[in-house]
Amino acid sequence: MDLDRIAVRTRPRGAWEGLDLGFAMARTWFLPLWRLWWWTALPTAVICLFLTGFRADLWLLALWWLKPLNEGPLLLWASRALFGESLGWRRFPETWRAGWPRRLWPYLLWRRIGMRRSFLMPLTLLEGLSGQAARERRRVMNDGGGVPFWLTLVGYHFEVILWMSLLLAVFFLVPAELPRLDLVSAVTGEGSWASWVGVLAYLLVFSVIAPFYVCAGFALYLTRRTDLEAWDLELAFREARDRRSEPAGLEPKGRFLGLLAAIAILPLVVPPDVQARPHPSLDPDQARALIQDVLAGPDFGSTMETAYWAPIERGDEPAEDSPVLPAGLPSFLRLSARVLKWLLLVGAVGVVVWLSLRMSRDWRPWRGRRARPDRRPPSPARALETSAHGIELAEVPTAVRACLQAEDRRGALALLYRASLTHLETLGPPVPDGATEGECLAAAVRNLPRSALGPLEPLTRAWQRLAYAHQEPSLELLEALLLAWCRWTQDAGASAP
Amino acid sequence: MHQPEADPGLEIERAAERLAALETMVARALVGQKQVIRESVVALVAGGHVLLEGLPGVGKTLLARALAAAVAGHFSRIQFTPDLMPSDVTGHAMFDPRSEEFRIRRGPIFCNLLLGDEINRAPAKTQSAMLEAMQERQVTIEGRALPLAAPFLVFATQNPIEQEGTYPLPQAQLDRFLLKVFVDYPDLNEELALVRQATQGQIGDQLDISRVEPVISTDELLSLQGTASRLGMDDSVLDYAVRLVRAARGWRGIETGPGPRASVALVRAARGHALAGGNGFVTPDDVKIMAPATLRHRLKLTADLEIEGYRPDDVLRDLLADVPAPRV
Repeated sequence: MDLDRIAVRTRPRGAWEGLDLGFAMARTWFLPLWRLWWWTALPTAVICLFLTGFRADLWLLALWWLKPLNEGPLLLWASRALFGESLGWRRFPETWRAGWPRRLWPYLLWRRIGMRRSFLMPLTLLEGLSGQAARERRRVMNDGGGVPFWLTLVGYHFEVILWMSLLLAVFFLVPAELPRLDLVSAVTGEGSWASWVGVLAYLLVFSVIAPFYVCAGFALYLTRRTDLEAWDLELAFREARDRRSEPAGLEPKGRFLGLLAAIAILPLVVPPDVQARPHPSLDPDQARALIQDVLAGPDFGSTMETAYWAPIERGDEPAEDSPVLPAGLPSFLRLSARVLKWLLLVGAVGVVVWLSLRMSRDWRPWRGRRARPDRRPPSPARALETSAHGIELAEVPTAVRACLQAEDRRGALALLYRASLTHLETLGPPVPDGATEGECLAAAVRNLPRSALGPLEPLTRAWQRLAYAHQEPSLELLEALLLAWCRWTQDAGASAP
Repeated sequence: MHQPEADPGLEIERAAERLAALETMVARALVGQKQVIRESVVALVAGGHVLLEGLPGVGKTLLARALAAAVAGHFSRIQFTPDLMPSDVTGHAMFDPRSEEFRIRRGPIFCNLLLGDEINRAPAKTQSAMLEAMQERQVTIEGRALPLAAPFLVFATQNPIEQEGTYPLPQAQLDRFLLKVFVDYPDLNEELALVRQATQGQIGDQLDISRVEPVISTDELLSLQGTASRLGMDDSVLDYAVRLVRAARGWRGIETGPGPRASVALVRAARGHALAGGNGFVTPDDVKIMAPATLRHRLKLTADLEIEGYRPDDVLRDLLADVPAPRV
């Protein structure tokens, strides 16, 4: 890291100001970051599409969960771009080999639902710390305070708002002649094209929000490091050094006076051991040992007692009429809060388990989407095949005659009528479930020539009388209808190509 | 299973002839509009009230007057206005100085066929005055319940535009109407015939019902209503009618569905339609044909569908196509 090449002005900033810096960075680098996001997200999306069995809702959930996978490269790119380095495609594999997948795992597992991900990812991914060192580092960095939490919360809200805006824009701006987007299906539907539109819109929103989220978290991290490590002072000193080393800097007389003053003051401001210390280039182990030495010195860790006088204010004494809390109340409240926290945690785990179980019932990625069980009754036109008889159309006359021999006129006529509807469907007119006998007949009259209607009309009338008026047809009529039906189906078979 | 009664045969045939004659007679005055005439006649036979809705000038009032003329009964007409009082409809008690006692003065509602023209122009108070008469066939004046003569049928009209200064009928009153019949524009040929008839030897633009003659007496109408009510209905058809109404309650896009009175109305209307068609039994076709007119005024669409301009008939079309019919 070469601070001299940093692209932003380093100065002490508040955390909210740090967010502004992050958004400014995201705006500046939006296009490369956005392209990079799609380059990393597209392969993931394709793999997830197959793994989730082309279920839109599961696919979106998987992509949402794998967001850190796409944010890592953005963070890496931004961290290099900040110091004027251009991270080409060839450098990415090196980075991955340097242990990034291992560092990303926590963010894809237990830290996925953490609200400080934007701030902690730079710590883990860029500094490569783990274990105790990482914990210590997070403590020093103060976890970013509360701002990363709010960043995540506001980010989620922005995602939803952008998503809904996008859907509403599509809904209102698509011309009426085109298929209408069903908003309810887009949000909650399964498998419909509208739900895929909703999911793709959400994916687009992910890609827009991600650069801002990553850069804002990274800027928070930079702000905190600037505070802790005084980058601004370091840069100021470096600039001063550069100015001093420049030949056309101060006038020769002034430079000479400054040098004299520095030599005179140096013994007074610099401790003797520091003055005596040479400036070797230290390796990390030596530096660590040196730091430990310095920390063990008398300037650190010592306790100093000072005494001073302070006026005793009357206001410091508790007023007599001020309410006094019962002695056990604070501990009771603490205990209650702890119990409540654990109850909420257990409840949340329970809900997650329950949802997982519910989703796992339908999750068969290797089989494709499971067909929803059809609870509607089978179409009467197809009832012939699905009936208990399970007979083919060619076997109908035999079955009808068998019914007639058994004096089952109702069974015979019902079979003949169902067979007629089945045959009617083969001739062309569709027979929807909601169509009545009259409508079936009307559809046939409308769509077929008179000669192709066969015995449909008298058959329908006879069936209606039997079914709704309980007037049984005569055997002669049934025989006649059966003969006409046979001629009808044979004629149709003969005329078929 | 409920066993339908024996086919009355001749009685049904005769009833269908009388109703066909009634339709023909009404068609003399109202050219075209066959479905509207059929639905009105069905309501007449089923003993139910009709709400006629249509744009101005499509023949709503003419239809009601022609029906009244074809049925030889007592006909009254009330033009509903914003200042119409309930007593103007039902009647009131007035003091007779000669006999020195209160005398009941019966309002125009005491008739066989009442035409309530532009019923939504009167305030809710006056509209509600008809509730008791429509449902219980009686009117209470000064604490005395006065029965209305049978048959008693209300034909009310309203137009769907010009909502300024109108009072939409409350749901409770809408539910009292057996059918809500839409009177739409006639097609080209019908309109040509209508214009020819209305201008040939006709002075002014008054409604011409001079060609309509009484073909059915009130007693005969009561007999026809009795025949219709006894018409056989298989359990599967009854089940279909109830399933249709119940499906409308939970249907997507319907905020408030029809109540059980709608099921009753649908069955009555289906019986009327079967009789008008000359059938001695009710089929699912009768139920399905009468379903829109029976249900359209008994359901309330959700706000989003109303904003998008959907009408109850659009939703009912989907519902009727989706609810399986009892074919086999």
